Amino acid sequence: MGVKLISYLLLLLLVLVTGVVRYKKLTTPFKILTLLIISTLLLEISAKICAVRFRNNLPVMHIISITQYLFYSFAYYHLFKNNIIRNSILASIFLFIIFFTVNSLLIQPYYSDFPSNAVLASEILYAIFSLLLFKQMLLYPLQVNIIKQSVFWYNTAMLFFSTTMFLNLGLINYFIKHQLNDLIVYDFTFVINMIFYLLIGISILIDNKEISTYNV
Amino acid sequence: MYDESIRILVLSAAAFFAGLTGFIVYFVVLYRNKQLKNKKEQEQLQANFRQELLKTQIEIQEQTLNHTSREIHDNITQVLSFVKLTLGLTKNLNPKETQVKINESRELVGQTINDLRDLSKSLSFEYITSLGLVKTIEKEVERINKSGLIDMTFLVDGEAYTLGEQRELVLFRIFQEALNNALKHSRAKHFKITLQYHSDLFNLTLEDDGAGFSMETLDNKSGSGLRNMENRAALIGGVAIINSSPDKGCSVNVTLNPFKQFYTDGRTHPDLLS
Repeated sequence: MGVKLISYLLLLLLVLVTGVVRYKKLTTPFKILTLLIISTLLLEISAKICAVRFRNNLPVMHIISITQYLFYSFAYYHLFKNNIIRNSILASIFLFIIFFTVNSLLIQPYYSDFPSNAVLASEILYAIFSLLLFKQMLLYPLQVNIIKQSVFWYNTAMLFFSTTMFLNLGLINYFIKHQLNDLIVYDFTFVINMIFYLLIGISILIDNKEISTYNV
Repeated sequence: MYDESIRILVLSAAAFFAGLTGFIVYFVVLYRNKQLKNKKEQEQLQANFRQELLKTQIEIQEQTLNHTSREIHDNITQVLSFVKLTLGLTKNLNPKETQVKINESRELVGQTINDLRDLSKSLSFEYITSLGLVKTIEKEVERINKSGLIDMTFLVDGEAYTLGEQRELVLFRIFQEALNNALKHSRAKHFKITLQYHSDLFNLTLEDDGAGFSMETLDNKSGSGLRNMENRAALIGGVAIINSSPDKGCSVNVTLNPFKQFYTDGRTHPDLLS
């Protein structure tokens, strides 16, 4: 196992432990995030095992893709106050499951292709959710320092990660087209992942039922 | 080629992160401005509430002073005048008759002392807050029933709990206003007060059987007292619904959630902005 994978898994474990230890003090969306971290950690380990044992971890990648979308969407569902947005999220979950199923069976089969269509679609939705949530934060500001608000860190993490993935994709395509060394982009992806889970960890660490009114 | 890869990656990442950081910083600045604006509005609302509460306290005191003045004029002065007259007549009576008159006068003076004692207690609105809403309304009902101005009924449903000094003061003022309206304008014969205490809801109902009025024909002058009731109820986190129609009397219903925060909540969290 490389250093990068170990450090990634250790970070996930650290965030997981933080979430489990503080579980009772967390609001509902951050409890959902803690459960997501558990599933991500288990699935990443499974992906590595499958890669080593079966030389193919693409089915696990498909499971990661749909699982993450479900968890993140439910977390956002509990953060929004507007019923139209909440219902839209529920509708998107339903539609995404259908799209994902069709994609995994027909377009990008789960045994042979990475689910880039599903990942791209979910990143677009995450970016939209995070911008809408930033807007909600401006409409209903809490009288608490923004740095101490878990929603701010979570939303920043989601916006950061979802938009960076597009940059990543653009860079990979450019590098491949111009026959440049694209390994560096994968290192960049690793750094982005680490920053993302670090920000998620910060949000779980500071989340507090007493000062959060976003838990509807 | 590797150098070129690094250069492209660094440039793109730098441009991207600069944009993202710029967005986050802009958001934080906007958010801070919004927080300050909200805080000012909250302070304004709190100031309005304090002003309204002060006005309520003054009105209760005015009402109490008016009542005191009437009691002194109508009741106490009359009784003492009668005592003076009675004692004045004793010079023409024999000792036995004089003693009877003196005893009568003593009883009347004793009664007057009790009335004055009660009056002095009721002069302070802190008396109201120390007794609580139920007892205060009870005393008021007792007083009005004794006067014979109107027949009042008072019912309490459920186990009474405190709603807080400020809310009870405002609710008492709403009761006084409704009672005043019934006595002065509607020529009502009966006035019923009901307090309902539930675990998650409090209800005050004030009903009279007077002349009533049409809700549509209220003008600014005649409707201001009723609107006052609605505004005051809203200030303490409640809702006042006033219903009336000609010859059908009037009912005022104030509902509030006893556990809902309202603008004068002085609690602070350590992370709250100073």
